[in-house]
Amino acid sequence: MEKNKETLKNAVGRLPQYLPEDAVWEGLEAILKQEDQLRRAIRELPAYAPSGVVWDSIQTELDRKPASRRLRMLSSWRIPAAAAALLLLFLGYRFFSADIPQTELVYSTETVDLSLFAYDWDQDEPAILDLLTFAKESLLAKNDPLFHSLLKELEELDEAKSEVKTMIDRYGIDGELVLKLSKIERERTSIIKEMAAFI
Amino acid sequence: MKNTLFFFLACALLFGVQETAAQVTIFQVVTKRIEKTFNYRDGYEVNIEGEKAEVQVETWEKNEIGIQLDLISKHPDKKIAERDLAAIKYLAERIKNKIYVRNYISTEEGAPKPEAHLSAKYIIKLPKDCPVYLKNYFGIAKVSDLSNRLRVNSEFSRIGLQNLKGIIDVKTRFGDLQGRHLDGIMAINSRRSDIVLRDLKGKLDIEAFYGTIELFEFEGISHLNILAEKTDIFLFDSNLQAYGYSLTSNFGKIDYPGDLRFKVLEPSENLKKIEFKPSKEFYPNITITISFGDVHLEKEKKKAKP
Repeated sequence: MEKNKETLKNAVGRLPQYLPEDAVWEGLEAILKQEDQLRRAIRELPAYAPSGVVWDSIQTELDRKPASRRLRMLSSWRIPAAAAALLLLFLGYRFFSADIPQTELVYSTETVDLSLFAYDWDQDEPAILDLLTFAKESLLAKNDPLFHSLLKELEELDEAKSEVKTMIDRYGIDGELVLKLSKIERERTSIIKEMAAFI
Repeated sequence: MKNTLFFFLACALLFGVQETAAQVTIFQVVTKRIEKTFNYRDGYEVNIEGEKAEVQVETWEKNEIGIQLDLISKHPDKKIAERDLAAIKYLAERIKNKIYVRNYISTEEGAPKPEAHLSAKYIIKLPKDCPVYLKNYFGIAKVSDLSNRLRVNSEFSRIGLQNLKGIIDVKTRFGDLQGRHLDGIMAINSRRSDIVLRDLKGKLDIEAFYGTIELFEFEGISHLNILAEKTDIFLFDSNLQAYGYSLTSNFGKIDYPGDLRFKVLEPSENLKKIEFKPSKEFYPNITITISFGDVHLEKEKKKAKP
């Protein structure tokens, strides 16, 4: 029996009161209705009484000798083993999924002035070749170490030019590659001019 | 009359605009973005091999290596751009303690040669103490904020280094190198490349053939050694008299401010040897040996550091 019944009653009376919204009552009503329907459906399920043979068979199974200790132990390990296998599967998934890269395709457009990229860097090659043939035959050039040093430099630049041209062929032309080619061509021009003095 | 003139002018302008507009082609750009992350452990090294690639290496606080690789294909015909994207291959994998990232072109046997303009772009984020080896063939490389070891082997590429510490080793051929706020043991080998470095500390060795070297503000340097051929060298510093110099030039000039009381050891026309020792006990040494190139020393007013 509560000793301070009046005090408790007053305190409860002073508690703030809230009225739930209509939607809450409607929700509760819908749930109760569903449960009611479910109970009715269960009641309407057909009932069957098993024959005596079924009960006898269950009895025989229960009377049988219990499983060996080893089998019981296996059975007791089954749950932890399954849990461990699941854990391994999860970790394996995490490990291998981290190794799979995320890929996505993005589309956009850009405008390029292709007239800037005219393939004009080999236009003077026949003239350069003629000049080199004459210069190499010159006695002055043959005996001058400077000419040989220039020839070496030219070979290096020719190789570089050929590398840039290969890149243009493989990756397509762009401003960066044309800039590199222009720089190499300017250096080649200055060397060829020096070599021309030996003719 | 006025109207006729205006009409002709308008026509000329219109044709002119059309002429210009006819040069411009709209390219369809298809980008395949690949993102991959590796866990980082001490002793790991990131090994990047870019070809026609823009490589950006930066640091973050995470204990991971994050790789974002864009494979880009451009062509006026969208179908060709999409088809040729398959020709750029990539690799991003860890083998033992090395993380390899690479792009290259490879076409199937019998497949048509790519017609699209192809390139790659990397953004690699890693812990600042992760060592990096970067090899780039044609392209751009930007590396910042590392503090352990960086090795760069670059051909036909522009290299930008910023705020680096530790061991820095750069080899460049037909490329340009720009660096700022570099502190550590640095070795640069360049051929037909231009070098511009600012705000340097530590030890710096440069071997250069055919190019220019410009060094600005190297107050914190403890040792500077340059061996160059057919290269011009420019040193700009606000405190030039604080260093010891040993300068040798074959077939070149050595220019320096008049108030630097250099001792000329070899004044011949082709060979010049100059020495200078500051009056204090300890000072950084600058040694330059150059042939077929000039050395130019100039006082630069100290600027506020950004």
